[in-house]
Amino acid sequence: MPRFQDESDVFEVFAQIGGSGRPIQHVGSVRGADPHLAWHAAKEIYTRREDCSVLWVAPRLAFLISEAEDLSVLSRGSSRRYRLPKYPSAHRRARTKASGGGDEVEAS
Amino acid sequence: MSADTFAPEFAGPDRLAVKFERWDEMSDEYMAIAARVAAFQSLAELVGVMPFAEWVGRAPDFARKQMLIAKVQDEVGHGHVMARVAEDLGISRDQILQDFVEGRSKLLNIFHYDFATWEEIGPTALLMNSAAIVQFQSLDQGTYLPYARALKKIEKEEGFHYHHALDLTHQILSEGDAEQRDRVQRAFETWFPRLLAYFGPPDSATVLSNPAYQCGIKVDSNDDLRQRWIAKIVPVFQDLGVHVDAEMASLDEETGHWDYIDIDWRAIKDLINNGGPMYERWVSLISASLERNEPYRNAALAAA
Repeated sequence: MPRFQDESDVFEVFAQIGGSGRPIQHVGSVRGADPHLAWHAAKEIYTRREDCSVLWVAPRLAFLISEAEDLSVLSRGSSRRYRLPKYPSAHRRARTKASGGGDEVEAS
Repeated sequence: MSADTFAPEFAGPDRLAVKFERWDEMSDEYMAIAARVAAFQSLAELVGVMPFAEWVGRAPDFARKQMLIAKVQDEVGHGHVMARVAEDLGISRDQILQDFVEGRSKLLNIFHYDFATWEEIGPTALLMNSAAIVQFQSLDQGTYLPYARALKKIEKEEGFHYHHALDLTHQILSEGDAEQRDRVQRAFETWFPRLLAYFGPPDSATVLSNPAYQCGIKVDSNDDLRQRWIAKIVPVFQDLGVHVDAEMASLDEETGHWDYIDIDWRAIKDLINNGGPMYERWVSLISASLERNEPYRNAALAAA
């Protein structure tokens, strides 16, 4: 990823908007000379129009981030059928069919 | 920059198909365009709010003053959000402001003016906010995702501003005296053509050669957006009781196309290049603000 500037004063901002229980989500970034100033900048820029219950900032440089080459590892969850919830049901149906069927136990 | 500097996947009907995150590989040209668009908008947000900020101390009642301050804060926040998008692509906020105070940036035509009366603010803000919403709802479908996400946050707040402007205009038209209502009418007649020009030159002259359009950062053509905006805002003003002259805008029932008043593009170009009535004032206000705040910026950096 190209870096065009010294990013040591860039902070990523995370907020919980819309009440406790909602996900705490990335909302953007700010620049600040220190974390407290960054937090105040984030408060002014991202929380004034809605109720915010959690506001976090963290230095961008502290993040370990995925790169394009990680995509093949990250996105293959659904290519492994045995990791998907419908797989055991299909497995059971296949077994029932193989044993002649008829006495299949309904999942509750 | 000409069309053939782009890889084929950026041109033609597929120009919107490939989207980019900050960390994706992009051509230098693409990155430069995205940076320029975000920097331009960052400056527009910061300068565009100045005529409104001038009225904070003169708002006629406390609630209006509160709503006006909230709007000013929002717009400055939008300036910050867009500056972050630009900074991540190589244009710092210091550079955005420095380029402006040293006369290297152009402003959109609508940001060269101020408001002579309180009654001018409501209808003008209504025209501006609706135009911004139409434009941002198109741009947020574009190919540079950090810019698109920033726009979605901004749109939400533009929605608040729209409702404030609608309420303000409605109050003056329903409670104001004849002179005040006349000021609203004249503000519409002055600003409607300016906002028509805000969407940019007609398509025939620009659309195919615009690199931002070719690479899908700009999504729709100027004329499409202009039509979309007229269709949306003219009925709003008519419902409020503002007279919209047929020469100003009229719907061709057969084609569904809006005809509108001629725009003097040469005059618009001159205004943008040479500066309108308020250009120097905005430059000096921002320049003074940078100077005034410098000790605080330095102190914060020194303490960090």
